[in-house]
This record gives sequence, C-alpha cells and structure tokens, in this order.
Amino acid sequence: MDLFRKKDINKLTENATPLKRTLKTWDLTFLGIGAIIGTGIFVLTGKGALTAGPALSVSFLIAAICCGFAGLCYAEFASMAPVAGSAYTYSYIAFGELIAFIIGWDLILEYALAAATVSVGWSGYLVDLLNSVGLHIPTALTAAAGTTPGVSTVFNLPAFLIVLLITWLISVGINQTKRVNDTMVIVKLGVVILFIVCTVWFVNKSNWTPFSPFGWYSHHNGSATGIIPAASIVFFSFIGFDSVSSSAEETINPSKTLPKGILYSLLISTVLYIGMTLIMTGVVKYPVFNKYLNAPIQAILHATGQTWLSIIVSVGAILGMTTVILVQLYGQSRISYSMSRDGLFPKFFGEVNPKYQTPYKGTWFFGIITAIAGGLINLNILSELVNIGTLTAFTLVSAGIMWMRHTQPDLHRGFKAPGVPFTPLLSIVFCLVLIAGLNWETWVRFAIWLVLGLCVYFGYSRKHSVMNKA
Amino acid sequence: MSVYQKIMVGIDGSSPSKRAFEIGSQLAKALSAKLYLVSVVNRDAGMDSSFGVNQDFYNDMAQTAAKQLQDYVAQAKELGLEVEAAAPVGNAKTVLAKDYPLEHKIDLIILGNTGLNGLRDIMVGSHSSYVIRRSDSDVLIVK
Repeated sequence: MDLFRKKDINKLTENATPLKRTLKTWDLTFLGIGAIIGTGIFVLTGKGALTAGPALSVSFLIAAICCGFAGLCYAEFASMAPVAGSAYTYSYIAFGELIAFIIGWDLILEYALAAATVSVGWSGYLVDLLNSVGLHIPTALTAAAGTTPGVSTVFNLPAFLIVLLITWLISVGINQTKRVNDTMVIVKLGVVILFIVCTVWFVNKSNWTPFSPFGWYSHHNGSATGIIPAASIVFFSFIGFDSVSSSAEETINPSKTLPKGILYSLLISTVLYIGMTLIMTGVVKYPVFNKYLNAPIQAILHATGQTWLSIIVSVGAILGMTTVILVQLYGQSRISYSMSRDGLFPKFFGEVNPKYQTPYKGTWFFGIITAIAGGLINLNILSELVNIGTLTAFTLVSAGIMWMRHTQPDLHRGFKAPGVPFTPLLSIVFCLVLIAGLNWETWVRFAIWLVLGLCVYFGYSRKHSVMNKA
Repeated sequence: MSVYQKIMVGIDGSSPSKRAFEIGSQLAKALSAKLYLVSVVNRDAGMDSSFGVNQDFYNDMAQTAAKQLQDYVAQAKELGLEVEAAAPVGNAKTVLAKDYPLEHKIDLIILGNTGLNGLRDIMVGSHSSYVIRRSDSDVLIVK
C-alpha cells in the first residue's frame, strides 16, 4: 500500500460551482485585518513583553514578515484546487494521504488549543471586569496551576465554562453571520485604537531603556528569552491572516490583488501592534506584566487609573474573544469531520445530526477536551503549542508548493506566488526560526503529539481509509 | 397570461417544507408554471476560519442535499412538470430571498414555516420572515 496515495481531483470538482470573482484589494485588506486583529494582542502581549522587553515591537515585525511569505505560499497552494476546500483536502490531492493526515492532525491541535488559549484570555478579562464591579471569584479558580509565579491557582473555571457553553451553541447549529463578525472586527479595532489614543500620554520614555534586555536569543530562568522567542509567541496574534490567501478564487485579478491584500492587512495590523506594544512597555516597566499574564492590557489601565477605559476594554475584549472561540471550535469539529469522512478517523466524528445539521458527537467530544485544556493548562503552554502547530503546517505547505512546481509544473494554479523558489524558502526559514524560538518543552510536547498521530494513522487510519475501497 | 410562471420552493426536509412542495407542485401544474426546488446549505461567512477547514463539510452537505432533492424532482416529473433543482451553499436567508430568485426570475416563492423556537429563534431568526421582508417576489408561507 502506498503511503502517499492521492485523491482524484475530479472527485472534488464534480459537484462544485465556481465562485464569483468579487473581491478587490480593500475587501481583502479588511478581510485580513478582521481575521488578524483578534485575541493575540489582548492575551499574549504580557508574556511577549516579559520575554523581550520593549523590543517586543521588533518581534511583531519579524512575525509579520514570516506571515507575509507563508501567506503567499498558502495562496498558491489553496488556488491549485479550483474549488473551495480545506488545506487537509488539498494536501490529500497534492501530497497524498500521509501528509494530509499529518496536516489534519496538526490542525486539530491548532484549533482545539487556540480555542483553549482564547478562553483563558476571555477568563482573564472577565475576572478583571468582575473585580472592578466588586465581584470576586476565588483566586484558586481563576487560572490554571502555575500561571502566575507565587500565586496559587488550580483550575480556570470561567475558561472551562465558556468553552462548554459555546460547544453547546455550535452543537445545536447556531452560527455567527458575516454582519456579527464584521461588527466584532470593528469593536476590536475600536478598542485597540481607543486604547492607543487614551494611554499614549502616559508613556515614560525611561521605561524603554534597556530596549532589548534579553538580546535576540538567550535563556533566563530556564526559558527562552529575547526578540526571536517573543516573535515565536506573538506569532499567535497573526493567526487567521491566511483567510486572505484562501480567497484567490474569489478575487479579481488575484496575481496583483492578493499580494497587495496580504501586504496591506499585515502592514496595518503590525503598525497597530507595534504602537500598542511601545505604549504598553512605555507606561509600565515590562516586569510588571508578570502579575497580569492573562489580561496584560489591564496592567496599563491599572497604572494609569482609567477605570472607565478598563471596563470598556474588558467588555470589548470579552465580546471579541467569545466570537473567536466560537469560530475556532466550529473549525475544530469540521476538520475532524473531514478526516472521519475519509475513514482516517472513526465514524463517530462524522455523524451529522439530522435536525441541527452539525457533527454533533465530534463537536462535544473535542469541546469537552478543549474545555478541560482551557481549565488545566496555562496560557504559555497552550499558545506555544498552537504556534508550533500552525508553523509546521505552513512549513509543509511552503515545501509542498516548491515540490509541486517541480513535479507538476503544468497544473492549474489560480495564483502563483512571486519569486519562487525564494519566497517558499524564506517562508520555511522564518517558520523554522520561529519554531526554534519556542521553548524546548513545546518541541517535545509537539513531537509526542505527532508520534501519537502516527500511531493512530498506522494503527487505525490506514486500515479504515476510504481509499482502500478504490 | 398566467399569474405565476416560475415557482420556487424552499426544501429542508421538514414537514412544513414537504407541504410547501406539495402545494408548489399542485400550483405549478394548475398554472403550467416551471417549478424550482432549492435546498440551501447554510454557510455563514462569519464562521470562516484558517486553512479553510469548514469547506469540506459544506461541500458534503450540498451533495447530500442534492441527492435528497432527486426524490422531489422525480415526484414533480410524475406530475408532468418542468422542474429544476439546486443545492447551493451560502447564507440561507439571502439565497432564498434574493440570489436565487433574481438569477432565475422567480415570481412566487413558497416556503414552509420552519417554526423555530426559543433561543434559536432569537439568535438565528426565522428564514420565512426574512424572505417575506426582503424578497421582491410574492411569498407564500405554508403552516
């Protein structure tokens, strides 16, 4: 049996209707900003600042450049199939079953843990909001063990509960419309801009020296520190930018529009991120974030004493994050559905509830696991695992398009990445550098996850794959 | 000239939508109109996410829906009707109210009242009431 057996592309295109080309540069830019500006900035800037000091602003730039190259490669990859599908399905066609399984397995980790990461941030802002109106949740139940040094916490109850609540919403088929999503984008952008305008006056330039206390890469108290490790952490803040890349088939004149859309959306969000980072590390000395790991923006607002603003930011962040958890958990149940349909996962995950039209059982299965992860695992571990998962997927995709240019030069491509082979090579280099910047524990955890995946593949999936019947 | 020439029926497998189909086919027969059967796979663009992971699910749902429509098509043909069926993926409300009717110049839309209740009604809203409000064609709601 062939490890790299491939699906037939004609099977995929049988029933598909071509998409209308309607998107222009600014549609793509708004789409990209909407997908990017989410939760990373509300959740991970604290950890980032502790890792790199004020030089975190440089880290954002590096992460953005990585995303730019990876985004171009992913755009070519997604445009090879003339119909809308997932990265998993495309790789089943292009690279064969084993790589497809690895990408799918990888995306399951990314989605589940991204939802868990965001739920932890959600909880951080909720606890802060409740505190400011005089309601106190017992400290032990506000965060996972080992979140804040010196504070004894056990379980993140709010994170656990919000994931279960949203799992239930998804399981009964409640979705979010484009309009709600766009409104949330504006809320999130509004919060970011309001924050910048109201706090820039409190910057004390002396807090910016030393600008880069840990250099490019070093080790401090057993964990990686410096600009590169911080870039590896805040990479999370850009996840979602590839939604621009997957729009090649809906874009007018994609070869010009798409790179511009990717560039502008990354540029605008990076400028906002850098502005925010400089303000945050300018208002307080960066070690202060130690006490505000789950809700870093509150470190600033407590320092400036703007309680009113802190309430607005909390409410905005909570609303924005709720929708992000919704989208992540939804994607989670759909990727396991796809794998089950192909026989790589048990039928359990592919059963669709006829009344709600949702993969009901799979949604609950992963929802419960995600809730437990959000309750028990601290933010640093969760977010690093999400990043390594996403970076690995982009590395595979970038390597894949180079390989495909070589093996199948005449294949239909709705969009061709400029500057091949340099663009994919740079994408791979940046992704690997960011992976290298993560803590070694993350590499080990991820390796265990992959080995586990290979056990599932060789123990179950190969025997049950639908491809066996072909 | 007959009043309605192109009649669209929204199909979702529920019992009101089955009644809508029966009424639609009887009307089409009586008026010698063409019957259009539409089963929309709802895709809310607000749920789109990285690596396009949701797309396969929509594609599969559309295939399933297209298969289910075949039964209805067969029944309509038995009545001697001219019939066309489609299972598009998109926002169910706008596809039913605007996109499909405009593209096919539909002059009567027939829908079953889906009878949503409680939370779903608040958060999702009823398709039929949206179509009544937004559609340019006449709308008949079957209870």
